[in-house]
Amino acid sequence: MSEDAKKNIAGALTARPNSDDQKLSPLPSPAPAVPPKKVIIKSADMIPDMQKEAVDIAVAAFEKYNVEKDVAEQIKKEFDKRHGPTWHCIVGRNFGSYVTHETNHFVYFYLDQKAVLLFKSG
Amino acid sequence: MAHYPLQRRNLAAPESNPTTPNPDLIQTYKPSFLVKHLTNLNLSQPHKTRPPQKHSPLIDTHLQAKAIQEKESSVTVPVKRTHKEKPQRHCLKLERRELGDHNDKGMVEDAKVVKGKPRNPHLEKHDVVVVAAAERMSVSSLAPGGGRRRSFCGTQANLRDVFAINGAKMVSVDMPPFMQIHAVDCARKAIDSMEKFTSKTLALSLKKEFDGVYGPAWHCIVGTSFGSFVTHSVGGFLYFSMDQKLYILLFKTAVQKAA
Repeated sequence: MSEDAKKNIAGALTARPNSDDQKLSPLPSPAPAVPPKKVIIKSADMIPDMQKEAVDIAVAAFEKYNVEKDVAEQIKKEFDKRHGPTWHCIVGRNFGSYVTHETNHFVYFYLDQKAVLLFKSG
Repeated sequence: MAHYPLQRRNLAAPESNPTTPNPDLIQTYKPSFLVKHLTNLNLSQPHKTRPPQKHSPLIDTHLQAKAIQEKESSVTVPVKRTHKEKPQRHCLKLERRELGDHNDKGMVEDAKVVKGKPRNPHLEKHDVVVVAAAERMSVSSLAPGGGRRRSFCGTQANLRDVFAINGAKMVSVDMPPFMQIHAVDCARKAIDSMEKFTSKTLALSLKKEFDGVYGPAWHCIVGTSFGSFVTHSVGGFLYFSMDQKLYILLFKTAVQKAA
């Protein structure tokens, strides 16, 4: 029971994929010159529509910002606005985490080399 | 353990009917975001030295906005310095006053927290932006004392000793000194006891320790390169570095129980 409530997430360097990777088809981008980013959902406890929404917001944030904390800020604020508080977002190349989240409100995915952890708690 | 199933069942109910955020609350909430963001601009200045890869109008506009914000942030810095020199109790009071800017939002949160934890009726939340990157190390070296610190006289000395012994530097903190010491000690012991270090294991041990001693729910992020944006309970936030390159983020959120 507790295992379902708490998620183990490892960063890029320490990642050991225990489950099969779910690759999503690249989203059609308005600028053909820019190659679509590779999206890999590593772990999720979230409805598919919300997952896609998270990925879309993350892609837009990476296009807009260069600093990881700005990307994290953009994603968290957008989800706080759309799905109510309180969300938390971590973005980076190398990190491990251990968090407690609400049921059906957790997603961890890769955008190229950057990992994005988004969950609701509190 | 038995409480978790109950929490999840009850949490499912509100999920089916997500409430639309009140526009008034959003408006009152925005200023605090800006204020919080401004205070962190100084810390993130090293990043600005990076030449932006894209020169689209959006980025330019954003940079201009940052420039304006910088001017405003310079005004707020002196005030915060004054706060740092005051005793801990006064700092806490001042923090609560600052939170009063979004009183409506705060009251709503208080109501929720009171229902969940009668023992902590004054718990509130505010956002903190933290980032770890190679550039941050240069900032740390410039300031041997580390990030922001409150002067606690004797407690401050003990805190410095503990941090120095463990090779830790405080980057950002909203947590009583004894809990800071506990976190650093716990982290050091965990790292030393690992045959092979993994960020996940360290995050797990820290979260478990704090969940057990101070109650749920704590969250821990460990790594050498990550950015984050989180909302935490008052007095439940710590962001520090160890061994010059490893960054640890530990924060607490309120747990909602069934009414």
